[in-house]
Amino acid sequence: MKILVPLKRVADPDNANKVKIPASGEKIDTTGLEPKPNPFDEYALEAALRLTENGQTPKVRAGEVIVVTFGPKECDTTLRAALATGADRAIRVDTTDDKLDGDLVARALKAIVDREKPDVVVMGKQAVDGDSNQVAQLLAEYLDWPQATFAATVHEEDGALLVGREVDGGVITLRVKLPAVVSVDLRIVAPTSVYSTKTARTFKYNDGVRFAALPAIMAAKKKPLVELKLADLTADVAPKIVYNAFQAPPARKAGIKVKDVADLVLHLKDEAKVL
Amino acid sequence: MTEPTDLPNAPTEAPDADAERDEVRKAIRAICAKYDVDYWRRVDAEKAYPAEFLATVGEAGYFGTLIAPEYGGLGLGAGVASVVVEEINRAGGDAAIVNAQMAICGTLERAGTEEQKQRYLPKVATGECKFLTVAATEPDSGADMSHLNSTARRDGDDWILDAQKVLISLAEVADVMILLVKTSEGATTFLLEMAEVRGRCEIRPIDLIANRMTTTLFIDGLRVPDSARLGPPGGGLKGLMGGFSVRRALAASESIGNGRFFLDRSLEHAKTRRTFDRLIGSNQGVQYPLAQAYGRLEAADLMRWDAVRLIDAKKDAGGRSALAKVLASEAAWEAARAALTTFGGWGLAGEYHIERKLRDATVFVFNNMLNSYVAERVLGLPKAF
Ligand SMILES: Cc1cc2nc3c(=O)[nH]c(=O)nc-3n(C[C@H](O)[C@H](O)[C@H](O)COP(=O)(O)OP(=O)(O)OC[C@H]3O[C@@H](n4cnc5c(N)ncnc54)[C@H](O)[C@@H]3O)c2cc1C
Repeated sequence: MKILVPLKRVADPDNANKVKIPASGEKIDTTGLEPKPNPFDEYALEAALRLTENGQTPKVRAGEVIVVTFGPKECDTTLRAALATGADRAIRVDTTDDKLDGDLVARALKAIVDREKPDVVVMGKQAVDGDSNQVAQLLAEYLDWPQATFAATVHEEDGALLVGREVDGGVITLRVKLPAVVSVDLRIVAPTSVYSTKTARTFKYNDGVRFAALPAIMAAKKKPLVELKLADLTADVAPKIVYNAFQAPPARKAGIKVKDVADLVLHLKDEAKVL
Repeated sequence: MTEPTDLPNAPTEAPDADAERDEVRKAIRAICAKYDVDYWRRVDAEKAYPAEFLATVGEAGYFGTLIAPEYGGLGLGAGVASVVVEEINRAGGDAAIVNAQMAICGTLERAGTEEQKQRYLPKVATGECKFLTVAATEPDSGADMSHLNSTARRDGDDWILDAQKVLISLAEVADVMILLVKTSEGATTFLLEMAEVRGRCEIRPIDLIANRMTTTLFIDGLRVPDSARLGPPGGGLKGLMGGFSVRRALAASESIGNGRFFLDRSLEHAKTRRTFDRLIGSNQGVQYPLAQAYGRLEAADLMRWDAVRLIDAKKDAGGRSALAKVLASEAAWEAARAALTTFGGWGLAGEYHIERKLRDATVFVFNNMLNSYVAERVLGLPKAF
């Protein structure tokens, strides 16, 4: 199985409250925040690695994972970290975030899929900076491939994937024929979420994404990492979404302290009008 | 647990800016994030062996950092190893065992026979063989390793060992350890396979505030084959000393990690805790100790990287590594003091982890022998003893 995993570098999501918006409102300033891989993309990489190996100790590779990102040269470290975690090859499309939108990324990804011909594209359900949640769906549409979004479980079958999606009322199970696009949710990295046809169903993975091993960090330096130009992938590089201005949400008013339960009930009744 | 962030105003062209070490730093931080301060607090309280943490670190290949590739390691040098132990301590853990497993086998790699190296090193690299201890200290010989009372005497092709060792780390869990004894030729080292030895010697815990799996080890008339001898008879001290520069550089790195832990936590506390209607961090009485501790840590770190540079270039790093160890342990001690000023009474409470790391930091503050070394070897002063 050959899998393409798009990865995005985002500003440290654990400190997202520290982003600033300059008075001009022209951008969101993330200066000082450590760049990190989008967590959902890390989960996608973990899922892709599980699908391309025989899960046992030690694990045996049985397939290929190609990671791709869109960003400047600095993003190479994100790709190297993915290679150290187990991906086989990396592609960086040289551009910057402000020149992209979800549609353009999806069109460029389609061009990469046309070249690489993976069996499946596994990706995070959304990037935690823009939270657009569009690329997987758009890509499936452009490729005319089946899609399964927000996957919590993926079991490989012959020529298909059995995908579990958690929804309000329970779990929907879809069988998507390959090739397909799958976007993943948090629970995809649970110990029994993903099985390749080579992995025994009794095998339990460690919870969460795997750690990069020191020998793999060293070996990753020799794995191929190629740079592409956005214009080589799509003639139309104009984003369809134009951001005119950014604005911080209004500061919330401080709450009040109530004297006692009777006072609380009074406020709920008279002001909040919920009683 | 919050992930350690880089300190303010750290020089952008830090000597460790090297990409390889940065990658290792990030990778070990990811492991440390899984084993957070509460994990370490529990291990400390139970005086337990942190088996799960060590299994993860071993699986990720770190124990082979220094071991040569022909013996199953990665042969990466002191710089990478130093980042590993620094980050574990900075995250609030205790790197002592990882340090030991990476570095103590260096004596075996330098002084051992090919057969001994093939037998142990590949398993040390994976963590399957716990090689964590040199048993040297005796009731009447601590700092002074030249007056040993423990002995080995020849009996046919074998040796008979009699040893009384104290303050010995991890004897209860180690699979192999190095024992230092006296023979007619002088100080000599032996490799003890603990699975065989443990039932035939006496191991008793000593109640220490840090390094909590520390014991005495008494051996009475134990017969071992000559193949257990490590290095030539009389070559024991020389064999151990060959690894001193690396061990000092790693001890310095552990201290820098400890110091940065104190600083990270203190800065966070100083920026959030309010008294007298303002942040405690706006008081100069809180700021200055932190600024000074930061300065000392950064200076010690530069010395650490200079020692590492010499070690990895296979040059004499004796003086530099001794200075790095002294400066770093003192800087960490000062950072602990500044943390106590910042935290007030809460610094003594287990849930803030300052008191636990303060206890860890005590392990490194005995520096007289190193100061003697610097005085004699670097400054050319007369020999004191
Ligand atoms: C946590 C911990 C773990 C340890 N683990 C091990 C282990 O695994 N294996 C092992 O062999 N040992 C171990 N030790 C022992 C350690 O190596 C000794 O504590 C150290 O060598 C000092 O010996 P001592 O404690 O007997 O002190 P002493 O030798 O009694 O010295 C007491 C003090 O006097 C100073 N002093 C002595 N002579 C001089 C001098 N001539 N000039 C100036 N100052 C002097 C010393 O520096 C020291 O500060 C451990 C110790 C600790 C605290």
